[in-house]
Amino acid sequence: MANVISDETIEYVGILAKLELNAEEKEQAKKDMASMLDYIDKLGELDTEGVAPMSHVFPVHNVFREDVVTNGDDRENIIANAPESRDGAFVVPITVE
Amino acid sequence: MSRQYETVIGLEVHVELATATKIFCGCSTAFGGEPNTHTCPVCTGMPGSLPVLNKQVVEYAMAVGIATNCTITQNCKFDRKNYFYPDNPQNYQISQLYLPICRDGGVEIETEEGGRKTVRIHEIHMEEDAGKLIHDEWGDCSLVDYNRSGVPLIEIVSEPDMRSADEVIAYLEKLRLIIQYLGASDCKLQEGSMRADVNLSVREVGSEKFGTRTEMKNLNSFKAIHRAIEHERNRQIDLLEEGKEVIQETRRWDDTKEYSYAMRSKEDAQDYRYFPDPDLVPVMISDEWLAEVRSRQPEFRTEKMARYKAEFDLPDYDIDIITGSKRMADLFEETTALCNQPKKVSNWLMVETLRLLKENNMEPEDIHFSPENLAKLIRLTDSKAINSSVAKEVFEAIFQEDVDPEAYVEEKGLKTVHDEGALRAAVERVIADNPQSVEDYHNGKEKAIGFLVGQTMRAMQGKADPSMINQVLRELL
Repeated sequence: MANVISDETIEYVGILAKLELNAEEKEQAKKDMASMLDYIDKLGELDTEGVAPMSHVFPVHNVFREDVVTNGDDRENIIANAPESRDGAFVVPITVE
Repeated sequence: MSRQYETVIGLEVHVELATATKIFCGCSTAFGGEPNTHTCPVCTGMPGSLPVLNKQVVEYAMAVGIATNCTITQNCKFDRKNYFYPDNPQNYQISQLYLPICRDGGVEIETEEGGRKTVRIHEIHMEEDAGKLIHDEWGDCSLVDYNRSGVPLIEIVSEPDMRSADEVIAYLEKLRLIIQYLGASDCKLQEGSMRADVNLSVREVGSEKFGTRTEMKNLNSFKAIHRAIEHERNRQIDLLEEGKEVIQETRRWDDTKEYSYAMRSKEDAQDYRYFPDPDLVPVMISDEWLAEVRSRQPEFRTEKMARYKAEFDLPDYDIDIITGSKRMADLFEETTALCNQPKKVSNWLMVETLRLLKENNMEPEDIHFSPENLAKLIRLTDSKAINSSVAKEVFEAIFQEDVDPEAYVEEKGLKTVHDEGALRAAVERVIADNPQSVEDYHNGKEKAIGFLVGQTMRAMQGKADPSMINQVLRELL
C-alpha cells in the first residue's frame, strides 16, 4: 500500500463523521481508507491534459421546476418518521448554540 | 491610545428569495404556518428523496447579479456542505462552492465624507435555508420545525472593502434597495429575510497586512449592526493594546445586553468537505436566457429619480425619500396614475405617511393601504367634499385599515356641510357668544379671527369649509 493513514487522520475523520471507533475498528478503517486512496491514485496515471473537469456523469442539464406550490400539508406522514415528536415537531436532544 | 487603528469589514449577506415554493421541492415558503405543515420528504432529508431546482431561484439570483455588476457563471452547479446540526436534516446543506452563479461585481456607496466608493462583491451563490430549532423551556429537549428548511437563499459575499459602521449600513441599504426594486425579496432584517454576518478585523493605519478577523452573527437591525461593529472594533483594539492576540472565531451578538460572545471554539474545526451534489444536474445559462433576464430588469433608483424630476417636477427632497423605498415609489406611481395629482400624492406620502410610519415604528415596506383609496381621498378633498383636517383623520383610517374613504366619510358623517344658511346661523351665534374676541378683532387684533373660526368649526362639528367660515365671518363682523 502506497498510502499510509495516520492515527491523527483517522481520529479527525471520526470526529467529522461523528463516529466512535474502538482500537480494532480504527486499524481496519486505516487500512480501508489507504486502499481506497491507492485505488483513486490509479486515476492519476491517466493523461487528463486538456480535459475539462466534469461536474456530472450524465449528459443532462437544466432540470427545473416551475415555482408553483404542489405540496400540501402532509405533517402527519412526515412526523411519522420522527423517533419522537411533540406538538407537531421533531424532538431532538437539547441543542444550544 | 497611542496607535491609530483602521477597521476592515467584509459582509456575508443572506437574502431569502420571494419565491412561492422552496428551492428544491414544491412546498410553500409562506411564513407563520404551524410547525412542519410546509414539509415533504425532500426538505426533511428523507432517504431516497430527490431535489429538483426551482427555476425562479436561478432567475432571481441572475437578476441580483446583473444589478450588482457581477459576471454570471453560465455553467454553474451545486455542492454539498457537510455538517451535523439538527436544523439541517440531510446532514449537508446544498450550496455552491466551486462555481457560484455570480462573481466579481460591486456596488457604489456614498461615504460619510460625501465621497463615493465601490464595495466589491466577491460572489453570490444560491443555497437552502435550515429549519428552526425551538428550545424547550424545561430544558430537556429541543423541537425542530422544518418549515424554513429548503427556503431559497442567496448569499452575497463582499470583499473586505468597508472601513466603518456607516459604510456597512450604506452598503446594506444599497443592496436592500436593489433587491426590493427587483422584487427578489422584501429584505426585512427584523423578520430575517435579510441577514448580515460581519467579518471584522483591525490593523494599524498604514499597514498592508490584514489583522485576524472575527465573524459576528445574529444582527437583526441596522442599529444592532452599528453597535456590534463599534463594540467589536473596540474589543479587538483593547486586546492588541494589552499585547494579546485576536482569536479567529465566530461570535454571537446580544443586542439587549450589548455584548458578544464566542460561539464555536477553534477545536471544532470547520471542515465542510464540500463535493458536487450528484442529485442535481448542472445549470447551463445560455446567452439568450441571460439576455432575457437582463431585458426584464426594472427601472432602478437613479433612472427613477431622473424620470420623477422630468415627468412630475417634484422637489429633490421628495424624490429622494419616495425612491428610497420600492413600496413608496410603487404607491406614488400607482396613485398618481389614478388621480393625476403627483404633488398631492407626494405630500400625503411625505407628511402624513412618514409621520404615521414613525409613530407606529414601521418601515415603508410595511405600508399596506391601496393606491385606490389614497386616490379617492385626494378626489374627496379636491371636490371640497371634506376639509383638510377631516382628510387627515380619514387618512389615518386608510393607513391603519385601508378603509374606502367614500364609504368611511358617509358612514361617519364627515362630509363638509355646504349649507350656507346653517353656516351663517353658526357664525352669528359665535359672534353673539364672544363679544370680547369681536372687540379685539375690531381693535386690529388679526389673531382674534382665528379663534372665531375655530369656535365656528366646533359649532359645525368640524364639518365646514374653513375658507367659507372665514369669508362669512369677515362679512358679518
